[in-house]
Amino acid sequence: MAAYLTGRLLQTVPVLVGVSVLVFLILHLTPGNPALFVAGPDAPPEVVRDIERSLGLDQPLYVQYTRYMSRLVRGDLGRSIQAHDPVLDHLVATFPVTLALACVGVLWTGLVSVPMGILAAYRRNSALDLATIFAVLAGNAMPVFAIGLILLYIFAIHLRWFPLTGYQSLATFDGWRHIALPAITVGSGVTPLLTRLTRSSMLEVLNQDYVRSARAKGVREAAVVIRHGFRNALLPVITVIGLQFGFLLSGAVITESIFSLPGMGRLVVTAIQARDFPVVQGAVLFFSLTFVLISILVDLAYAAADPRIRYG
Amino acid sequence: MAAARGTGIEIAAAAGQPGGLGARRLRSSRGTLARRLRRSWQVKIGGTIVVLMIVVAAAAPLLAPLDPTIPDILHRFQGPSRAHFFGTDSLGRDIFSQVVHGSRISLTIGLISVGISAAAGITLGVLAGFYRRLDDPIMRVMDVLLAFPNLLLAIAIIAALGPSLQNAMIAVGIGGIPGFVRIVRSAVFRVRGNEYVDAARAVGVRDVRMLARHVLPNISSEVIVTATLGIAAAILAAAGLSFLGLGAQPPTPEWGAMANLAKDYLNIAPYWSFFPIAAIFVTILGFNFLGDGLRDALDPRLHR
Amino acid sequence: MRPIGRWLVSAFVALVLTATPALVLGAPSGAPTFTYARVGETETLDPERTTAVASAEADFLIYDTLVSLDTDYTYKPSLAEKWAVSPDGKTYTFTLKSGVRWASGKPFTAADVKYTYDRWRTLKGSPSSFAISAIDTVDAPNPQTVVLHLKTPFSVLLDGLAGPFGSILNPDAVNKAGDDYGTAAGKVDGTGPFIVREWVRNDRMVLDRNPNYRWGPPVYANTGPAHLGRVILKVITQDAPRLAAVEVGDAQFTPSVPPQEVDRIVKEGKLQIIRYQDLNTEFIGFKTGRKPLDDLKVRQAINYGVNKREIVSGAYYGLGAPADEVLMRQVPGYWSGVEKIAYGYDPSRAKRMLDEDGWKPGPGGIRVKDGKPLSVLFLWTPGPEANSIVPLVQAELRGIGVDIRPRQLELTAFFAALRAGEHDIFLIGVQYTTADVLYFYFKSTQRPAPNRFDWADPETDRLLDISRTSTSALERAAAYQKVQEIVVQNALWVPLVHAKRVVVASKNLVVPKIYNANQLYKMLDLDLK
Repeated sequence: MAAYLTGRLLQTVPVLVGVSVLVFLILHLTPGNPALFVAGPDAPPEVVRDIERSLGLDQPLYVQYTRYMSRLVRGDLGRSIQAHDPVLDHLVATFPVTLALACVGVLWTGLVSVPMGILAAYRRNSALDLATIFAVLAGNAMPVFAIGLILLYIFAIHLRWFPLTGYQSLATFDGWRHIALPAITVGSGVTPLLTRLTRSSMLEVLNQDYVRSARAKGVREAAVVIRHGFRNALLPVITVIGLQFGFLLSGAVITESIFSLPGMGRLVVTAIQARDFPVVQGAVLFFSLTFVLISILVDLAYAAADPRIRYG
Repeated sequence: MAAARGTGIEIAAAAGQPGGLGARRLRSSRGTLARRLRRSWQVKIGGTIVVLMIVVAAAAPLLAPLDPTIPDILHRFQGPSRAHFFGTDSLGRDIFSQVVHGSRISLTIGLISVGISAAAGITLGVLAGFYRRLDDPIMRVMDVLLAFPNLLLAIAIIAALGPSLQNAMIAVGIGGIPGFVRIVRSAVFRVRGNEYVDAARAVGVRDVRMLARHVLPNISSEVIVTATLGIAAAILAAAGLSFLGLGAQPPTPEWGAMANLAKDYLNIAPYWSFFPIAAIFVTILGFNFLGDGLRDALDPRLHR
Repeated sequence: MRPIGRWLVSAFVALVLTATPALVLGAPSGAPTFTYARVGETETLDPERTTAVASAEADFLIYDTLVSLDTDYTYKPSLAEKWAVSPDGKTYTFTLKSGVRWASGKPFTAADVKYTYDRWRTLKGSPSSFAISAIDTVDAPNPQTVVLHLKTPFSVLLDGLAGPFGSILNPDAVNKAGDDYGTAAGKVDGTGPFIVREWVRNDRMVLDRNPNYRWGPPVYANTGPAHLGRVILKVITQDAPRLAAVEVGDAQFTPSVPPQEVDRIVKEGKLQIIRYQDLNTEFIGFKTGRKPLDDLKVRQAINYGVNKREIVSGAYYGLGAPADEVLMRQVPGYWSGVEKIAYGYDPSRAKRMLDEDGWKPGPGGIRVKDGKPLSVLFLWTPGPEANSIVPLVQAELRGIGVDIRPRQLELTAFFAALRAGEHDIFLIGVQYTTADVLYFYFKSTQRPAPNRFDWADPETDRLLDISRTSTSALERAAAYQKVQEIVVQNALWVPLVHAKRVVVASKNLVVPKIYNANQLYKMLDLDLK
């Protein structure tokens, strides 16, 4: 177990180094450097040169990368070029927002998809099943931004049931009202997949001998479905979180910009636009690290949920 | 479900696609496959939509009554009518003509992006499958690509190359590579029975023949399904990029770019947003139906 | 495994629930809270490190400057009670107000001003230090007096000092926070009417009034303390939700309204519509150093070929005036002669000029000369107006046989591409406060940016030097007039529109005055009924 974990964690190191090189290269090939942004559009050339020098951008690429990495191993992500404060502060401030968005999104998805998938499988080939299949496909065909815009217009602007924008702590009821629409938007991106997986795994379960025998023994249908169905729905939920976490984060980029949430997605987009290299590098590394760690957690959760899986 | 290597994506993916299509050759005869395809309502609906879209795209200049780029300020914000089926936008341009012309763009995006993913993915997958020495580096690079959130990768690539339709296609295409690599690589492994070629030796005649006779036919159905669904995903992703202003450039009537412009006029002209979004919806639905129907038809095990 | 799972879940929940921004409690009692729906976030509250508009919004509330710019473009006392300029224009002596204190309680003195200006001039990587680069030394002979010694006369010095980057800093606070100065609510000190209480980046900044503030500039009827007890600057980047925030009452003011919504707002009558005019020009600039725009006739033909009225109605919904001139009439230095030589909309004349110049209609109606099509790369960056201007200009110029290839870039890439000289023509809107905008754009030393016209003309340079260094107002005005004439005669750009600005406020917000580009400025006379 411990050996397995250590191995997995060690494997993440080259991946993260690769990501850092990739980001670094992409950023530095990008036209427009941060000095231009800091200087503003109209600064005279010598001001731009001064700023470039003070940021170390006049150095060769490998020197810049080595400097960055040597600070990184000491735990220093550098300072934001735009805001001048440590990049870590930005990550610490924005990550909870995006995490909350993703978690509440998954929660919403679970609440909708799991019952829907189970019911569809239970009444296979019924109108309900067909409707579910159709809803899944329709949901898959809807762009995230369209869902976000529709929710924003109907429920926040016209009906005024939810606040327009912003983020509050989830410790308060108001916080949940603020997060509701964005979370549904983000979650709706994975709802179809989860529904489909729940349905197919449920179908498999209903065909199992022990379920048939439970039925034969006269255990009530509902009890069978609930006991076996829900337990078996756990695996698809875990799968979706693992497989789709990157997708959730991507959805967060669009969702956060529609709902003006102060999360990491928007942080990265604005940082890319401002060529705020240290923030982009820090945030992407952090995203990737989260992604890798979550996939390890998902593997562990599999083992926990399914006793047949054991890691040496 | 043994411990997977790398980021664990493979475990998740294997569980996510019950049946793992390429796992065996299709046993069914052509006849039954054709029958299954004909019987599948998904293939019927999806196929119809896709064919319709191809026809619309091909005949766009004939179908579109007006030049979608010519402004006509006096007739702006006209609701749908007989003169303008989908109404006009903030500059009086005909929305129906824009949507019709947009079908060409979206189809191109889908085909080229998936073409990039498939070409690069199949090549890399074959290389990784045949050469032990290349396998590890290639799969590490794929891990990097997978660890990098797709949309962010696309945004970063576009920031580097500049926002344009072409660069959006490249960005979306790169994001789709790992999926193809995985399919092809595991198919090669299965066919070869996990025996590695000595890396020093070039691919021999035997390997090429094996590739052509066993590997490619074996994965073709899975590649077709992945590509069909990939087209839908690519159109959707490119629309998202255009919505963020990073894809197609105005006055190019790409649907996502249209929705991006239209969203600021929802109070005045809600139909302007509706039609491009509806066009995206129907198109994606078509490709998803087709892809799903093909998968079900090609993989009889799912029919219980 | 299971206990680990439970532990993980609870850790997750704890993280989500607790690691969220704390709410500030207890607004100052009795005085109203005002929420301002803003477009972008402050980058840093260190005013010497940024030139962003969004940072200026907060800087003016937190800090004071020595002098203030009034709506009639005259300078009024702020932290300086009065000032005098020596006859040679090289020495500025400021007498400071007494009784001014920092928010932290320490009295404000001339040493603070000297520290601030010296830091500003020498700060590595300051984007605005060129605004005071004419300063040679700063003296603080006594706590009430600051003397600036200039290397050369510099007619626009006060403009720089009155800007947000001219905000006076507390040396103690800067030294204490070091590199972190201005990055968080606790790492700022100012003499301004408001004090930062909380700052959640990309969401909100909460400022409470400074109850001891008595030294506001006389541009206000109320010189302090502010009527508002608390100001919340709330970031809402998307246009529609930002306007909706004011409409549903979540906010009471927004500085930017999509032009297409104005009619509806007027009709519904639920909000206050406030119109004002700042100095601005939206224009298309030509890179004159390269084919085909090195050809004066081509530049003039394009000028004749653009229908500005259609742009005003199509892109601005009537909220603007066609711009024939380089400067707006109300700017000191404006030359009325420009109206006689300006280019009006005359497409047939444009076609004739191109014909005479040897540009003959070719395939697709695009003109050709020496085998080269008349096709130009048009760089632009998206915005509600630009999104409409570009297709309009493209369609109009196609009508006279000029092919426009638009390339849309996001802001940073746009300015980078311009600096690199990739453009043939470009679309920019400029906001300015003085005729010095001419120096800014057309002095040869300002190439490659902001002189993106690639304009290097000894006569223009000579006149612009006079405009900055002459101590005679008459001589400066004459120089400005001559430069305007040169710019029009050489058709260096197509001035398109002077936009009329519109902002909306809730009905209960009392807004006695809009301070041009700075809009609500120090918010001293704002009140909520």
